[in-house]
Amino acid sequence: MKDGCNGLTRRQWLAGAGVALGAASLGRGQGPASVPPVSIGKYASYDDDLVGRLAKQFDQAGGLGGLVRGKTVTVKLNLTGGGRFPGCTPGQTHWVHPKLVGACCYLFGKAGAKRVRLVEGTYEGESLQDKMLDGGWDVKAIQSAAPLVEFEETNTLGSGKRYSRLRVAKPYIFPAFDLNHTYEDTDVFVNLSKLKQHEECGITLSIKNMFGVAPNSIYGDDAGVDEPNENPRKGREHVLHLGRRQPSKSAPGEVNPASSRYEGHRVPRICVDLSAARPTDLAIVDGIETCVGGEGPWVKGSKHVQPGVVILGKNAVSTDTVATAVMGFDPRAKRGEGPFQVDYKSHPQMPGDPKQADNPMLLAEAAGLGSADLSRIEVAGVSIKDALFDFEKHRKG
Amino acid sequence: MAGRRRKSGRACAIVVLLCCAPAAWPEEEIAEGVAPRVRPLSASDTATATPTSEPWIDSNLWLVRSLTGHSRAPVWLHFRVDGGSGDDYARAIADTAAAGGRWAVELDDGFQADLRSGQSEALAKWGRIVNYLRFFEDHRGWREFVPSGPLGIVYDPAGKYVDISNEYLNLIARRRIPYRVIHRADLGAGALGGLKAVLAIDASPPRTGERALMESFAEAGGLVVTGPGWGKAPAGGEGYEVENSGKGRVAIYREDPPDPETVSRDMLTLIGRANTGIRLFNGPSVLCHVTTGEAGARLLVQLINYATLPAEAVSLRVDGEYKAARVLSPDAPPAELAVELAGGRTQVSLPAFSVYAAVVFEK
Repeated sequence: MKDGCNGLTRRQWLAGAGVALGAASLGRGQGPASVPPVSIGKYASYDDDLVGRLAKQFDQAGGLGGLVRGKTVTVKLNLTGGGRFPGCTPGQTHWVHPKLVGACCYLFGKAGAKRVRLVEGTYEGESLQDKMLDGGWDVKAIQSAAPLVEFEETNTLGSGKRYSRLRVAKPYIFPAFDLNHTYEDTDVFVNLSKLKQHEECGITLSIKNMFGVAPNSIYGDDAGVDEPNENPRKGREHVLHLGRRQPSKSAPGEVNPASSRYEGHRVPRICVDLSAARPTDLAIVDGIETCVGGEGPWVKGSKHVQPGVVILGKNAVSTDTVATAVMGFDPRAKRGEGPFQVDYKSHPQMPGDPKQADNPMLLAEAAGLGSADLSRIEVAGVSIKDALFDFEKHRKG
Repeated sequence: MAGRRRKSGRACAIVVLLCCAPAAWPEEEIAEGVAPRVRPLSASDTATATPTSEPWIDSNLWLVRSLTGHSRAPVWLHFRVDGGSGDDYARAIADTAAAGGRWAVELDDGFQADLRSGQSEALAKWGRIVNYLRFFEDHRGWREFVPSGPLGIVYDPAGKYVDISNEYLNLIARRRIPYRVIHRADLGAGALGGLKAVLAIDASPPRTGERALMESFAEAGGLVVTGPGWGKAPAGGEGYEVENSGKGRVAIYREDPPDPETVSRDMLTLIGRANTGIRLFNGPSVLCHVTTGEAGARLLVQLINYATLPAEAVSLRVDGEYKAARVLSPDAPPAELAVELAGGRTQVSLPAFSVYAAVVFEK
């Protein structure tokens, strides 16, 4: 498929874009202004004027018009896992909230997006709309928020005829991924994640949200050995978390199958590889309401909180860096420091497990995907200090 | 334990409205049920996620169904709702009545005292109880409706592992897979008609006639799920092995009897969420009982909310195209629902309900 840019195919462009965009963002040898700004907004609740406040934040981050006008915009949501916290809908705690999704769709449409496509993987063969309905979403309202809103379940081939192979310029674990076609067939990729901690990886923001891009048909525990299993029912523990087996042979295997199998080593690197394969054009982190102590209700001790913030920017690494600071953590904390000293409560522990995860922002920075240096990131809107919501304090409290 | 029959005659006060009392009371046996609710499991006294990733629900729906035998004689349950709110009493009635049973209404001591002193809140609560009892009597015709669903569960109340058998019924209901209870004595020609799958662990090993019946069912395209007594059980590895049989499949568990929680989860995988005939959206604290009447012209879905907060933004999708759908509840006037037809299915969105709602679909 040609995209009309210098005769490159979209896939070729994507393969180089991760590094090119990252290098531009990182701005080595250039002034701090080359790092895209990150906007922080304060919100009283999901009943706040989401459209008005988000529009202001998008302007602070560089504007939407030039990014989405006349384009297909694909939005990767975070609708991870099942279950609920007592008295809460999933959108209040571990999923992105439907009102925020609706407001984004509306603003993308208003800014001239030709098509908005919402994507996420589901389990048990259900459609994305069914998963949304199960979370109490008003799917029709979201569908009518922009002139054309589509939905695609991406744990399988979905509506595509073939998987798209997206390459990683400087891979840690995988040199390329076979993904649902929507991750290639788009002009703009929006990463809409949740401001959360993670039991095994420390934090869950834009970079970690990319983990859900890998289709279970190829990277799931019951993926086919040779070819994808288009009826997957299991998660990604064996192939991605623990590396006990390789993905379906139809997809590229690991660069070094003898590398560490420890998930605190693997998962952050795989997320960075995926971030390089499918670069993010706009990262939005929903922290109006969320949970502390883990990524969902299945993590013992996790609970519902209301930080009241949305953080967004045009570079996922910088956006995650600011979001991590808003959570009260050092974004440059090294393996085993701060949030990356992980403490399993629900997850089965492996013998000799160091309980330490690597910092995905530093890994992404080293791969040239963006800057994780707060001193080089312009923060617009509310300051980090005024938006600060100390996750550890709330987790312990 | 729930489900164990016992003779009635407790000294405690039992109030039974005359309109629904059995003529033979109190000689009638009463089974012991549980106060229906979302059960708090954690130290903080809040409901926590269980291996089902959903709240743990105590319900009698399965129990009434397991006790409903050939005679279709009324099933009466006994349990107390200590310190219950109006919703708790309403839920106790609905949870028993939805599957055709009846709760021997038993008021806690405080409530009785408040009633005797004419306390207004107690009178309002009593009014709610009467309203719920009246509703189910007004719709007693629903008791003649027959359970609908893709799954038949062979149940042997005289079996070796009756507690485990009860748990299959309980946990599969909590997975919201509509099923028909087939008493093992009734497992004959026609018993499997209209089903997509049969869970026959209570018939493992099968008797000669039972094996032939289930083999025919599988060969015609059905799914038989059974225990190691069937033969060819897996020696190790996965919990069950699936072998093709004609157009269908036979899944044989290694363990005897297999763990009910595992079986309930596997049933969803084996049948497939798309093949359960009904899909309830955004109702983690809601269980439903599905029946049909008038030769399939009407489909009745009764929904019970076990949480203290109302069930909101619940959607329901059922297989088949229905022209109309109406929601009924003791708490609100009947209302027509907008039906959406797509892909041979009908979907409706329900108004919020605190305890109970019934949706009647009509062709």
